[in-house]
Amino acid sequence: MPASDRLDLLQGTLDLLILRTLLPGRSHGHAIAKHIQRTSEDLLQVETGSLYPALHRLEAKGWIAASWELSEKGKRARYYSLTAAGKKQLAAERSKWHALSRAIGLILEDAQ
Amino acid sequence: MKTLLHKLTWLWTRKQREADLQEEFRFHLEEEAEERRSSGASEEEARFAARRDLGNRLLLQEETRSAWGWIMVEQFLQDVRYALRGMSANKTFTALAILSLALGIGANTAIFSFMDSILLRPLPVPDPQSLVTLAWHTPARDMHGTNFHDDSYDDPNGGFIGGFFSWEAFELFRGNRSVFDSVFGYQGAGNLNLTFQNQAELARTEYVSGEYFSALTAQPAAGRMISPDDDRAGAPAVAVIGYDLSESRFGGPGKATGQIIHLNSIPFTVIGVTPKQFIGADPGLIASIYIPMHTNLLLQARDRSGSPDRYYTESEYDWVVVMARLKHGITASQAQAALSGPFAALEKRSKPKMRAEERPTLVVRQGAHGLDGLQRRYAKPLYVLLGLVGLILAIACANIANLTLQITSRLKCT
Repeated sequence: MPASDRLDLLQGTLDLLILRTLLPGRSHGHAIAKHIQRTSEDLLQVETGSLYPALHRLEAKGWIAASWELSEKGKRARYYSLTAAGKKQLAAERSKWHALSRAIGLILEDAQ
Repeated sequence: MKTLLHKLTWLWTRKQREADLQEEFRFHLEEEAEERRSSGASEEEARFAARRDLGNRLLLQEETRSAWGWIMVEQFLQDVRYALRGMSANKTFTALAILSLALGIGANTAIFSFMDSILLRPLPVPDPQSLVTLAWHTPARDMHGTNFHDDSYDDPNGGFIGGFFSWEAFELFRGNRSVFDSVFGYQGAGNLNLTFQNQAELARTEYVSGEYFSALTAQPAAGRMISPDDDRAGAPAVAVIGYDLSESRFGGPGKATGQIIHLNSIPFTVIGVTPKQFIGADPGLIASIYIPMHTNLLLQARDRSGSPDRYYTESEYDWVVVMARLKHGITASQAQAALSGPFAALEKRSKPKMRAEERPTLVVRQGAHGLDGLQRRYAKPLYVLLGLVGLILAIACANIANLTLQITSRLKCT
């Protein structure tokens, strides 16, 4: 897919996507990026330059926790998992996002 | 709070975290390269692409670190370390800088604490807010040579303010029980020659009325204070001395009481010592000896200008500085209203020759800061002084800035 067809992430949505990606279970940085890319059918590409700062920011806020574990291939990797506070945050961000997209949708699809 | 703890532990384990971060990026690179390899790229291509994907690694590291939230503190600590290194490398400069700053700051502190005690802080006595000073105002500009006290001055709004009264007027105020809890008077006695055990020194002395200490609620450090009974003609001559004097001349408050001292060769018995922080009613005139008003009959018996009796008999003779403690719930202006009538009547009777429109009228003002004459007299110079020492500090800072600049330019040359 050519780079021009990719969408830019809206400010603040990366946090939401990371939290959602971690909901099923722990994952490391590379896998998180790939998961977001694949699930969005390659429309969204997470820049490494914003992914790691975001991960560490979320960790500092206490929404995700990190631990060193062995990956499937037996290498040491830093795995992130959702904390209880992170789950709450995810729920809040999610409903905020739904409200926002509904509001924008209402305006864009206005029958007039 | 929780996040703060979080951050603190992070700072603690910073080194470890740096290593972790490196490892995390290394893992990312390997994963990325592996993925590209498995989708058919050559080993070389895969590695290169992965690198490119990660972007500027140092920048990324920096940005990630800043998410830890300690970047400011870290930079500050770096600055501190740098400053300390610079200071130890150039000791003369450091000494000069510290000295000039210390002088500037010291001067500022000294002037400010002086200002604080005179202009800002109320008298160190219980309930200073209920203290008032009494004065009179006359529209006449030229007063009969009365400018011998701090509290007499040309009123900026016209006329003249006098801060002292005749004994008769003082008795009039003292007799009024409706607005004042207590009324007390004092007057500086100047520097008297204090002799004790054949050693003489000059001691700042103040005449105080019998109510002075009880009105200021000063508890003696030893002995007792001057009471109304001590302040009458013919009473035994007694004195209360300041705490500092008791320590410097008598070896402590306890040893001072009961001693006989001579003031201008007249014997006085020390009956008590003021509390440690006591400064009297006037922060600008801190006496070390307090004696009853009526002892001026003894001390000024040989006064060339006439019998000291006139202090108590001639109602034209104004000399008592009067302060009072208001009754609870009474304001200064209420007190002024209540006493203006009687005072005017007294003035009319005692100064029959004076033109009616020039007769003094009573002024009662807040006295929490003590005698306001002092504030009036020193306020402006003090503010100017404070401004000046502020400038000195600024100059010191400019000097240091200059020195630093020179050092930097010298470094550039080498």
